[in-house]
Amino acid sequence: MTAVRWTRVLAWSAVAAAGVLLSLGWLTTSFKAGMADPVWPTEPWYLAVNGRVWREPNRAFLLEHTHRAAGFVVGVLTALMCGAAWLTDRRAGRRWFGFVATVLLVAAYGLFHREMGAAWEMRKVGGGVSVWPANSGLLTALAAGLLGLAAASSTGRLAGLRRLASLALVAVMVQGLLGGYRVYLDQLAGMELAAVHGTFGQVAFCLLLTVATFARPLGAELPAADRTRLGVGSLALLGMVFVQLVWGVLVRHGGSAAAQQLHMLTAFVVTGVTVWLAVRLLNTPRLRGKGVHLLGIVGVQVTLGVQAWMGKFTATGPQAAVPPMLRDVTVEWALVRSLHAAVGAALLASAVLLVLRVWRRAARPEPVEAMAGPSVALAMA
Amino acid sequence: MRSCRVIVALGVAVSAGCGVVESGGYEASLRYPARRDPVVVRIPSVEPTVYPPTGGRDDSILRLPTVGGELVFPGDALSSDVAALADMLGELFGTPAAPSVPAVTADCGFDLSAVTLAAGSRLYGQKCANCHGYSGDGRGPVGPLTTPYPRDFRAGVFKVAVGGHKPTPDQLAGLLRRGVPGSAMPIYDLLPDSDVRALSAYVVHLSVRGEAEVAGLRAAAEGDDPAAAARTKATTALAAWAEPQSATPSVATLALGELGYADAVRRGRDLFRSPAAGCASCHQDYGRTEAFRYDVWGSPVRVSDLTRGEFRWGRDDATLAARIRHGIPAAGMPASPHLTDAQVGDLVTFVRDLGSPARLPPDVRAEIYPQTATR
Repeated sequence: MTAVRWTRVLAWSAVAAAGVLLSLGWLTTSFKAGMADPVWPTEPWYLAVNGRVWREPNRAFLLEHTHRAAGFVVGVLTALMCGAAWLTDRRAGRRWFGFVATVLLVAAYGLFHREMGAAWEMRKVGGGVSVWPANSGLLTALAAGLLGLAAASSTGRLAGLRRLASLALVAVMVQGLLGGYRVYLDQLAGMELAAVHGTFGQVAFCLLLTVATFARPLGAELPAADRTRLGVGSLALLGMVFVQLVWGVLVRHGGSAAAQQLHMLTAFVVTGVTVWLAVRLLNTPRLRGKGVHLLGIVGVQVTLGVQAWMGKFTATGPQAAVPPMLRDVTVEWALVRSLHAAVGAALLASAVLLVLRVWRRAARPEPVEAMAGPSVALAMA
Repeated sequence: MRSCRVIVALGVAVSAGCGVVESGGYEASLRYPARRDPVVVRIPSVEPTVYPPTGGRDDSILRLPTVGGELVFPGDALSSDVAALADMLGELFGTPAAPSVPAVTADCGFDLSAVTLAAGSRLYGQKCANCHGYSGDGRGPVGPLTTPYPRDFRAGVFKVAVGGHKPTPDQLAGLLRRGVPGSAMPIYDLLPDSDVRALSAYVVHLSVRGEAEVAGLRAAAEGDDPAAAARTKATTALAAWAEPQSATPSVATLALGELGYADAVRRGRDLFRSPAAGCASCHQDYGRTEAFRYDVWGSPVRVSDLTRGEFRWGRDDATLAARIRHGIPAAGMPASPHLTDAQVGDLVTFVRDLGSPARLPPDVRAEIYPQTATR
């Protein structure tokens, strides 16, 4: 299999794993189990040790640690994907520069976690708090800079794919750190970091999706007239869905009155923009299916949103006297809320894919001299 | 134009109806909820055999009468008694947004002023209520899913305190700073001292309120005046926070040399297994064998596995010595008043390092961790 195919397979694997990871994250938030284990970092195999996964009676703990384990899987797949993407470069020097930078970054990141683990052990016995281990922290930042340099200097065929893959790797790593520091610094800014973690997770997911999309042959570019007609609308949808995601995350993490109002009001805007754009898509023969898809997904999302809202902010009996954020969480309501978050993420992903489809231009032919080097499959039309 | 009006009207309606929750502080209109779960009056004398499944704490408590326990059900009280009790509790303890405690003469060391309690309430809402519940019942949204269950402050019992007394400000602050290893209780080592003091004071408030409510419910069950019982209990419970704790045994003997250390560990091991100390009768195979006891809240707790090296209430010698001397009454661990200070010191030396095989003398290690001897 060629490097491009490997990149594609690994990218889609990372997307699938990230879907599982996000689902576990939504469930963790819905059950309010983000702090079920106040220890971070923990080893990826933590649950497997001594068969703890089967014996552990603490379900919140299991949920949180399954989320962490899924995060590790996504991290590994993304790192492999990034490495494979660098192997697509036909210029040997740049190919190995990017590849080695990727390996260095992964190693430094692992070392960083190891040092944070040691810092936690020290903290446990009153040895003070270390937020950023100096050596491995600096090494990680340097390795990230090196990878950035490799990405910035990458040119030629599939350079965009390599840049995106590198960006996705850094994003996944940052997302892991956000999740970790959400636990580590819970007492100072746990809720705020949880909100950033909840938002950025979907950004990282969309980046992985973008890599996966660019790593496969795409259809012909849209006629200029269609692009003009749909371009602004597709960007507007993406922007509004992202804004709505932020409000939604704030409702889930803290539930301030302002966030509730903005989430409710933006729902009308997103629905309006979606319907407006869907009508245009339905009148575009090549993209009719996407119009139907968008209408369907928004319909489901609005229904789930109403259900989630009712479950969170209305109550009868003794629970009616309890503030919404402190009400009992039933399995049923946790599933509805998680499903609402999942469909919202699907809408964001659909908006990203639509933007890519609408704005994509056909690849220009590469100069003949740049074609020298290892054989690479033609991934992009 | 019409659509604009609809949007504006909708916006106003949404704005009006959504001021329900602010993260952190409670709304002024919020009242503490009336207790609905049963009060455990007597725990069974038999030992539980299993740990309740996730979310099964209340079901497990409801079954206590079938194995010799006794409960008082708040739902059995007359509605007039419930109303009178609620009024009295409101008068004595205020609301979550404006908490208070009755004035007492004894100084318990906590700052229970209205300002500090209000600050503590805000912090508690942000950092604690998710597990401990906003009434301190240990039944916050995530409470049922965690094991061990978050502490229910309403019983007025704290394992961190020595010998069944109320904890001192330093003990509560130390617990917050240190967390509770092996549980979901996090470390609060970055909070300013003022926040820790406010949180501790608010926990005292919730605890005293809970005790007063329990006294009122028990009085109602016995046909007495619940409001008067609550008022009396509020005063006595607050006074109890000012009582001194039991003395901690001297642990000066623990400053041992290498040779002395090994001998102390061996003596501690022998004592641990002897009927005189009786440790091994509960901590079978040093705690590796699963065994349970009822705690005063009516929930099964696992007898501590000492080979894990986790000590929830502190691992310093003085704390361990106090545990051995005075027991942990809330969890059914008996006191050992008959042991000499030297014997307590030996037990501390052994138990403290039981979870660190590398530190144990080779013969003791080989006996307790036979798998390491074969490597």
